[in-house]
Amino acid sequence: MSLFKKFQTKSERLIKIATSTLNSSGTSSGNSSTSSFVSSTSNQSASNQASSSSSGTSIKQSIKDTDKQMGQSSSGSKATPSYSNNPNTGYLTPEYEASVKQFLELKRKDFEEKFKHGGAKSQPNQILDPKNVKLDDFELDRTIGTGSFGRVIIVYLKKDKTQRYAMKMLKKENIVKMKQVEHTLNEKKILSSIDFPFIVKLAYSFKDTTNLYMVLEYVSGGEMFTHLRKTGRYSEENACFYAAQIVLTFEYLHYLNIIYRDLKPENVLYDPNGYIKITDFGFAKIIKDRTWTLCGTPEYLAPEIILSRGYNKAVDWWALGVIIYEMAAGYPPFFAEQPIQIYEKIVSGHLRFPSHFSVDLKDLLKNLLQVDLTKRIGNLKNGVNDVKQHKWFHNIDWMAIYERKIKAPFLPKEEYEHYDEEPLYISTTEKFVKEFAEF
Amino acid sequence: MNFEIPEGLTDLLQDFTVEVLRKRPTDLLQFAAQYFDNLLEKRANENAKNLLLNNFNNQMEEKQPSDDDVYSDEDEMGEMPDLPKSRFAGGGRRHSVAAEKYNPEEDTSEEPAIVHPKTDQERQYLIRTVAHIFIFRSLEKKQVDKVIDAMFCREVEPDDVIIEQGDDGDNFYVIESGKYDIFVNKQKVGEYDQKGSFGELALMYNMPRAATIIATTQGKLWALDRLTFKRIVLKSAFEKRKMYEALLDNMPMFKSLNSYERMNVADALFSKSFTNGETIIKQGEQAQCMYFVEHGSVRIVREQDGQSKEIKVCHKGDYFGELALLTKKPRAASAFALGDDMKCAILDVDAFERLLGPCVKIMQKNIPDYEEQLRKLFGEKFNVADIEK
Repeated sequence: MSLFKKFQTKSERLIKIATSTLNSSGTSSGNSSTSSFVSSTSNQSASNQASSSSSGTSIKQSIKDTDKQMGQSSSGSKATPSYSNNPNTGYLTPEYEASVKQFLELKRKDFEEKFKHGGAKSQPNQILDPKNVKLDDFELDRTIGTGSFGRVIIVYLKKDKTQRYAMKMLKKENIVKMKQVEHTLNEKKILSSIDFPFIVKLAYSFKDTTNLYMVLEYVSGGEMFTHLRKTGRYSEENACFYAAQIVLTFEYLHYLNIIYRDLKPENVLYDPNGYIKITDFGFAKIIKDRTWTLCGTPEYLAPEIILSRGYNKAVDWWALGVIIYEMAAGYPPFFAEQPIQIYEKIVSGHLRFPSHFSVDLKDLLKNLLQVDLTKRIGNLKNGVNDVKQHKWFHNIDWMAIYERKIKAPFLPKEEYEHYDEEPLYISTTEKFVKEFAEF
Repeated sequence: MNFEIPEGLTDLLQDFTVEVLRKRPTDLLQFAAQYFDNLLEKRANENAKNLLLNNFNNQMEEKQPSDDDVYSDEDEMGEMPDLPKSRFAGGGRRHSVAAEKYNPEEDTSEEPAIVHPKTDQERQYLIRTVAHIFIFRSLEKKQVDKVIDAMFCREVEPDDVIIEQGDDGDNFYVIESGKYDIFVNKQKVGEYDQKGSFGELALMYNMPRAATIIATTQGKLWALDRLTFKRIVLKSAFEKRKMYEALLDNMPMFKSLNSYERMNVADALFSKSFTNGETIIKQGEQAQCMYFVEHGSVRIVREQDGQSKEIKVCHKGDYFGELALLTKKPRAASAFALGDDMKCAILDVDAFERLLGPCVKIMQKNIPDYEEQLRKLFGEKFNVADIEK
């Protein structure tokens, strides 16, 4: 009974968080009261980090605790037989589910309101006037990534040098050449309208004659990709900690009818507290029921994308399977020298696991990397709850993950790759005005 | 009796048939023995390979540091399997790929299908060749026909550069004749001789070509461009969906499903054609699927005490075969296609149980009607759920 009460208070907390987010972002005037949510969470996680040795519990610790509680609940109170098989179902009581739904419903309204107006008018903690941002407001430090359209540069605000951002600079000409105009417009509109702890925040966006700029929250811990390759592979326990955050992020995005379409360790960043931030919304899209354009990253494409059948949100659940596999094995489930050979393996339906994978992990992956869409977990009648209730996640306290109350497996050092710098070229004549009018 | 089709049988026989049509052996039996022998040998080799891989993984496990070490900064890359260099070397960051936007729902252009005339022999050759390429393997016959229609001929002379490494990928090529050298980074890595195909990645999205192909003799190629391919495949996928959705929308029993659930049902359906008189369901057999009439009509017939009577005729938009799935009894009646070009959308028993839960009650309401029909025909009290054979 006490356990049940604990869940109830958790649900209440969730609603409170949701409403406070809405209050803070809804007013959108950029004054001090609007920043309450963002600053309070960051304070909270900072204090978590500082006091982790005393009050924060390690993942192992908390797992033990949960086990203990669960042991008590199943043996102690026979009144709740429905919990007995899967201790985790305790977290998904109807009350919990209802409050999550209520929470997501509020989040959706918030998103739709912002999206309708082409993104939030302003973000909390804004120092610059969002309508009047220009390249000259920033001091460029160094390049930390390059792509086919442009590069990502660490920048400082000239007005306040403590404010550091990652500025994504995209060459309009390249976007047009690669026929990715619509994807880029989607990215900006969606990023400026969403708000979730595990998604990187867009602080400002602007354009000039030559480039588009998205000024993003700087996430200092580097890519999961770099860290994972250096480490080899993650223990299942640690992989589970990151996977849980991805699950919550997909739950949020899908509830907003957004598919993400580009999950991979290269797009997962670590913040100083060791939690993740998903970045690169270049392929994110609002969909009604299905979409048709092939996009993603070869190793992570779902079979239905490869076979040009039209596809839906289920492709993100497939990609979740791929990233979990890659975290736990150190390499992806389908690999080959040439993309076309990768695709052949993906559509073949053959899946092999390293011998060290646990039974639960194998079961989860068989259900996520399921070629038959109507059998793929996450895409069934119970939606995300089938994933959350899967045995592999049974030690996860979803609420605590959302609130970032569990100590992360490691705290990253600041990390970035080194890239050659290139002089910035800004044309004197305006380019592609029509194509990017919406940006 | 249970006629469960073992997994892989259809593919096995299909591949075999294709091979027979291709090779036209004089001694069919001898050919079949040889063919299946080869398959066995291939499997043995595969198993050996897997064994190696497993051993490798076991070694990996032994060498794996404990969890406490996992986050040390030591470079443990040595224990990774033999990952392909091209995608994991150096930083190994994997780049995203994207095709041009094409939305079949917005493509209202009634452009006539592209047809480049071919002889029957050329058609057969192309059908046989593309059957081995995975992008084509999942296409229906009608789609394959359209794709083959759209392929255009390219005659080549010695030294013609067909594709050049680093260039945009536009076409996919099938070789009908001629010899061709393959170069990667200016080094010859292989050749094609009178057969084969290359450049299929170009059918998916634009990627710089990974190799250069140069003709060394005169020859003939068949080419297909990405946009044409996508238009054919995606448009027919979309139309098929639309058709399935319309089929389901018109069935009262699906009213209790929400649109997402209906979409999932549509995803699970597959179509099958029948010729006049062909048996779709055989009375007394174990039930594997239920059927929705997509095109044409179906006669439902029950045999009893030596007499066979027609119970009813199903038309487009009707469904049948659900009774045995509900009662978990053998088929109570047979179903035969009426007229050629009869087509059904089929839902297998797993999907039926997974996806049609909410409709079961509605379908069960039909049971008394069926009993009534049978009583009228055969003149006795029927309890459909108890019918044996």
